[in-house]
Amino acid sequence: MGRTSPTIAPVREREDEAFEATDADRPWLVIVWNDPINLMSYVTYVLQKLFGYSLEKATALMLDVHHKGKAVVSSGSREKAELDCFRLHGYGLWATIAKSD
Amino acid sequence: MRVELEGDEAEILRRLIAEFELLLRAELKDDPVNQRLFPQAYLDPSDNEAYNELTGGELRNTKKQAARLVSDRLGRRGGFKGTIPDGEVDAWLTLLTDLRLAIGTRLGVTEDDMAEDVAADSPDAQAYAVMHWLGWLQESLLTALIGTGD
Repeated sequence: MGRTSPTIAPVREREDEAFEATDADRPWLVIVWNDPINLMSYVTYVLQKLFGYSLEKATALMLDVHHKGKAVVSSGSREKAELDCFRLHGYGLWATIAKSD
Repeated sequence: MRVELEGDEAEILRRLIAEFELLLRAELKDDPVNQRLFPQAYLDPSDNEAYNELTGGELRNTKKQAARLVSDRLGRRGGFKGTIPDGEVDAWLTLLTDLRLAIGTRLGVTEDDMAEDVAADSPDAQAYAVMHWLGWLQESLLTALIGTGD
């Protein structure tokens, strides 16, 4: 596929932004862990509410949490990760923070 | 959003909230319920210290406020038939979650436990029944929320 001329403003998907980082500023990840108590519908609601995810994306993340045991629900600076984690705890989800590999 | 609770249902909720408020005030660091309600954000304990200093008080206060709000709305006795304003829906949802987390953690439930029927003569039967009823109430609120297009 031939290259088109470069655009002025780079266009990125939101998800790509999270993984573009130099070694010096690897993003921080917010992870939600599966728990046997919270309803699937509730987890989906929280993910939509806190992150503005579509129903489809929130449901997919919730299913990842449910089936794989955990999922990364957001990423960014350490400050953002701490705020997101705090808000998730406010809704009773089990969330932790880790630096990406 | 409209919520209707019979007298005995509202009474269960009042008692659970009262117990929950005691638990929040107790701040028992080694209590698994306290640990589940206030999870550690980081693996590293020193990172957690800083994080907890920043957030712990506020998180506890938010939970106390939600409990107080629902308790006030329920009134002192009788059933509850009322409308929850949009701005108060999350207080109800998070309060219901916190109660389920408290009971569920106390029971030490697993996914299998939640999926199966508990024997009626089990000492935990009542606690499971309450868990499921709270879950049903929460599910009803969520369904009504989605119905309004929120």
